[in-house]
Amino acid sequence: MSTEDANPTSRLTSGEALTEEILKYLDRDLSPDEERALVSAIRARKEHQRLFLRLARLHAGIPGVLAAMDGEESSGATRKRWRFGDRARSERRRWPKLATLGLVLVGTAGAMAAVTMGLRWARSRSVSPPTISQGSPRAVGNTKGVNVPAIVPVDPAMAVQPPAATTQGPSAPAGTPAPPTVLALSLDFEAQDPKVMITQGHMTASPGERRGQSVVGTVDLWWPSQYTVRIERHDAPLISYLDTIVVSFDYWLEPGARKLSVITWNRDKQQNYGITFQDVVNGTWARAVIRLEDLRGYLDLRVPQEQGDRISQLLIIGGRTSGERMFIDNLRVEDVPAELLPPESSVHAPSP
Amino acid sequence: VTQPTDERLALLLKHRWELFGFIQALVRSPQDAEDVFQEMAVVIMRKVANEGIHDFRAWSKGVARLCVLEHLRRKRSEGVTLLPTDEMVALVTDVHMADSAAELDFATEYEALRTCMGKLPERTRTLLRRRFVQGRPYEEIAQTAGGSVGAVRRAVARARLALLACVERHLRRATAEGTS
Repeated sequence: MSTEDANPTSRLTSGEALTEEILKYLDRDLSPDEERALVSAIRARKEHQRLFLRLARLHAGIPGVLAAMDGEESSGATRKRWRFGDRARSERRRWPKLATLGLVLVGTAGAMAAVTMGLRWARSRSVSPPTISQGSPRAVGNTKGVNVPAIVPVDPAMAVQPPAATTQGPSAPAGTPAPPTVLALSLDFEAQDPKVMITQGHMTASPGERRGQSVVGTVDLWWPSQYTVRIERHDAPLISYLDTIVVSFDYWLEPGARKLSVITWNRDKQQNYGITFQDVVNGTWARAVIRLEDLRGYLDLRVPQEQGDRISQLLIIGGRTSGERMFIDNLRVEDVPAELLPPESSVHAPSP
Repeated sequence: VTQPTDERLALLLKHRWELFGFIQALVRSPQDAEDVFQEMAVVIMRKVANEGIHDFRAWSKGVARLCVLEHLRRKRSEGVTLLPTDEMVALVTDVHMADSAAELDFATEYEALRTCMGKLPERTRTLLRRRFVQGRPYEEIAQTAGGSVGAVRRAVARARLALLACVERHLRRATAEGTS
């Protein structure tokens, strides 16, 4: 038996062997005995401890960095449009959401086209070109600081579903033959929908007198001061932007909560678009009806969303981590005929 | 419930990378690490008063440690294997508690990792993506890539070593620029 066999720790005195063993530990590939030998080797020297810390951080950072790069590479052309913005600031602020993009699989473009075509299906009207609205975006949360990767689970089995037509638009006047509203997404949170992923928030019993389940917001790595519900899909855009898309959902904010924000991540514009309401309803179910065209860019206000832009994430942020929780239910994303569009986004619609 | 101070939120944001690294070193699963981070953030934000928090960095590491221990205890009771040994838990906690690297280092390190990742060939990045983003086992990656499991393991290990070397070069350069 060699000396190394007799004392496995001695094998780990070289930096290379130690590095290899630390990587195996991080991969969960060490037996308990091997792990104990590694512990002894790391404890023995300060530089081993520094190496361990560095490798552990490197290991923790890899998924987020890769996910971020996927987002950047797939949008190289559109990022040139940032010439108006403060580049340094843009780099810093877009990181968190880039990091949450996760993997976007090959074939996204085709899937996006399918969704866009579907949304336009049953509609023969023309849509107005996007305009740059006045007003300033209200930043939500704090995205400054060190860039930490948010880790996103990936479900490659998700399939693109063609949208379904419905006549239950959010504001169809009674007695009027309404053109069909196209339902792009509908989530009642009673069961896990295989098409979408709730990457922030979890399903739970609804508060108040409502039966069934809703989704309660949880703490996001990037906006830890408030609760977040984040919905996304990786194989295809969650939504293809149209001026006529309306996102609506029931919300319950515990008494004391003062804000509710709806934020999207636009892959093609590489920035968040959002809107924040200060006049929220507390302690009972209420319904938010949000026109996507009311959302404003967080990095560059002058860059409007355009028809067909790929929106990969929808975030609803509200309550406070220190106190009031936020519940969301009956989320719908619909392409609404122009004549039935609500006059403005609101968080005061009655909840059914 | 007392309002959390803006100061505490700012501190949490400032230290999150370090805290996340600590959690991940013991949890070794991105999804679980994010869950634990979340529990930790709730505890930190809900702390009623600032009394007793003389050193946020050390205090938050302590909170992270307790959250990790609770997570591991839960996992053990669920019969999950492949958890770190008690010795490793103690070691990781000790070295993290004792680590006094400047906060700036973490931000620089992350930026360096990003730059270095960009220098890897796409094929290597794909391997890393399958392993660390999608969480695929080596066996499955080997099957997809058409190579042996050993070859895939070696390729992933080489890639991480290359990243480590590259990040260290960047950090040395950054330190040299900072002191000059």
